Amino acid sequence: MNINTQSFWVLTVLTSGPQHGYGLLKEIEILSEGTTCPQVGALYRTIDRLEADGYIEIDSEETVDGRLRRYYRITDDGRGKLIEAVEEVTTMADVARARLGTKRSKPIAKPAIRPSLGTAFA
Amino acid sequence: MRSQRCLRFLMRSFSPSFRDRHEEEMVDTLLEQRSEQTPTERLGGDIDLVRNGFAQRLGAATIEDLHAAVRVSSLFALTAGIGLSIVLLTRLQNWSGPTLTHPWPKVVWIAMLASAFGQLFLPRALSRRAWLGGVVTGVVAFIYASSLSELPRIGDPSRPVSLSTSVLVVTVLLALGGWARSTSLPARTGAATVGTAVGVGLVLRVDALLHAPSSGAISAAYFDQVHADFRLDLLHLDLAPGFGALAVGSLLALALAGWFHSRAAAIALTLIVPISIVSVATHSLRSVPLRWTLIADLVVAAIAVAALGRGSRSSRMSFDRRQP
Repeated sequence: MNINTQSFWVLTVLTSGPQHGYGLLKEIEILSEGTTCPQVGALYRTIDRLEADGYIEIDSEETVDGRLRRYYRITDDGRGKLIEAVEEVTTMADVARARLGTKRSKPIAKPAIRPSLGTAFA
Repeated sequence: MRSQRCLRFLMRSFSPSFRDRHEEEMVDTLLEQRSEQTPTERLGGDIDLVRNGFAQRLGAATIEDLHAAVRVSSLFALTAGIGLSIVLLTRLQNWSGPTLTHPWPKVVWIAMLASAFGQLFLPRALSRRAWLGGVVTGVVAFIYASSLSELPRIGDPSRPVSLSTSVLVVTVLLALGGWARSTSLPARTGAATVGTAVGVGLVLRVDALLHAPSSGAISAAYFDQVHADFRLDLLHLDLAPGFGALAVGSLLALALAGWFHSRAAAIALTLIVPISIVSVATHSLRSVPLRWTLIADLVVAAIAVAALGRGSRSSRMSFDRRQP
């Protein structure tokens, strides 16, 4: 894949709307079904690089219970990068499936987690 | 509050500019996360935070260089281990005189050689066992050898031979060779060939010295010259006069080359660290002052670190290759 796994998940989460650091952590864990559980240090290094490369940007800031929450949103460049990565992964998976002689599995229904996360991490 | 102070302290592992941008929100995120974690998870999170901090300071490019350098240094260490094991296995009796009657050193060197080749060519799971077997053998042999008295040496009885020194050195080399498996098969085959060739070359050299017509006269001057300079004093193998200066000079040149190619500095750094550890260990065992050895090592390490720091500041790698 042309981007690393953590960057992929951060961009994927942000396509649904702005999110803050802790929300990203939780949502990545749920969306990846526990296969990617980023630590805070690694997550913010990813955020820092994605921000420096112009793939995400700060959306807004607020203070909840005395704690700073900075929301990030995906940029057009970030969306383009994610589409590129998805296409690459799809191609790779198709080639691997063809070699293995397996059929494409049923598309997975989008998990209905967004509304609950929306309230939990708003 | 205590937790917050602790987190802010750990955050110092990140660079000041990174802290300016993210410290407040990171601390708040960590505090939020901690409220759901067990003490063990918190400890793991703290360790990970510091690890990421240093990785962020070094830069992903430098980390990649260091990984590559560790693989190269590991092969180098294993090659050296193979060479030394061959010499020690085949010439130990001649070199140390008739006082050594126990067969155990030969068994140790055979086990070390088997471990080295096992690390290089066995399937991955077995190669790990070969590594572990070699290290355990080395540690046990070192503990046993430390309890033995030193052996008189041919040509220079005033400087006795310490078996524990050579066991320690080869054990450290084999332990460092544990990462050699991650290189390609041709590289591993090449390394094994070089190690064997160096070992055979050293055996021939030792033979020539021992059987020279005027070996006594040659040895005295030769040993003086070598001993004054040879930094590791490997069972008085006397690889070559000026070996120590040559080694430090080469590493210094490698570190300086890091100014132009950061991987060279990374290799110099990964080589100088184990060499320094072995130097400190052998000098301490023999109660020889370190002085210049340690200063030279520190100079090489400082130049390599400076070159790596310069490389990580100047090189902006593409988004695609950087990994957290």
